[in-house]
Amino acid sequence: MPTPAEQAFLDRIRTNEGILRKVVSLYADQRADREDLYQEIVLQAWRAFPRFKGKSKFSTWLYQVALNTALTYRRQVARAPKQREVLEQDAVGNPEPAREARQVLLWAIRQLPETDRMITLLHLEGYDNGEIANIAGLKRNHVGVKLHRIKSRLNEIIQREQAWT
Amino acid sequence: MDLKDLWNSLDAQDFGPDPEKISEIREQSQHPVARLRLQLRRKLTWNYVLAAIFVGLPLFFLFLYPDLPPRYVPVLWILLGIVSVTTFGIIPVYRAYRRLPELPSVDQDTLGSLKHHAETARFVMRLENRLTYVIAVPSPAAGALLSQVAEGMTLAEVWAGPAKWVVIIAGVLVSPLTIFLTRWMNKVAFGKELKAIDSLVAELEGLGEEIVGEVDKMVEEVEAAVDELDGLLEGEWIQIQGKGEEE
Repeated sequence: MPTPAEQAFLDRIRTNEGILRKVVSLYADQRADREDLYQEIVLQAWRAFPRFKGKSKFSTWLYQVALNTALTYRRQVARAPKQREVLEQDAVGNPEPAREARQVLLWAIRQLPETDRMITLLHLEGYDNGEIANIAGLKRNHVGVKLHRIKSRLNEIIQREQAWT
Repeated sequence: MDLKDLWNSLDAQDFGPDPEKISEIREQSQHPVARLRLQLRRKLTWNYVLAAIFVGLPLFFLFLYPDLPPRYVPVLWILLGIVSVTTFGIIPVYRAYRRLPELPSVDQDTLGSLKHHAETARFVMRLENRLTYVIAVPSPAAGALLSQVAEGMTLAEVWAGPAKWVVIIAGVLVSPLTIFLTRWMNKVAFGKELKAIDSLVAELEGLGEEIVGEVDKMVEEVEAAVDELDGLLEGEWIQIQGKGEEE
């Protein structure tokens, strides 16, 4: 049975579950690996939680913990699938065109290097370059240039994929 | 469609099946650094258990076993000495282990966290190697010495005869082999892990060089544009001057 403090923390995690789902889906291929990574992020967040002083939003802090854990946790989990089918095997729902486009976007992000995936996710989640720089430990300008390149690369991957299908 | 719009249209299902609801927080971390730390703790525990046995047995035979053949007495004292020295040698390793963070901090910036992770893993591996030096060097020599005495020789006979070379060679050959094997095992177990972390750090830090290249290219473009503008302005100025002179 979790203690009241653990329970309160788990409730807080549940309200921010979307963050963990997004990170886990970008860094782990198979369902079992996802569950594993999810559990590990929750454990790491729980251990680091006493140091959370509320200087940033809880969601930003959770992104930080989740991304750092995903990058350093069991390297074999974090590799991108070589074929899009791997991701689709786990996806739920019908392959309707809109869903197909969204799956292509997710797949394309997973083709990026791991640190680029992190920057992409934060950008798409609405963080500005300064905030991303703080989370990544980079300079704001670095993030700007990096993002510019990532967007070109993403568009290139998506266009190539759409041309094939 | 804009990437952000497409991203915002993603729903929960797009990110794969629902993760199992967590009712309890996992107790043991599966993180590589946590596993390294656990492995070191197990080794230390085993070392202390073995030390207790190897101190207890000679003490028992020396003081509580009246039928002990006299030739064993000096060897048992040597064994006691070796075990005591190695036990004291392990103490600094144990202290360093106690100071190790349970996990590298994950709530700092990514670059800092990655570097901390790699440093911690390397530190644990160094401690493992130190532990091997402490254990691997004296134990084969002591083992060889004990086996010679068990065959009926006294310590003085071992040291006077060719048998002493067995002891020395055991120490000289087996020790480096054990150290090499430990390093190799650490490399196999955690080398890939460290290499991957190093490449992530390089990937992030490498941005600086990319930026420098980018900025250099921009400066070249700006300089070329300024030259072009200068040329145009000069041309225009000559034209203006020419018109002025005509007037």
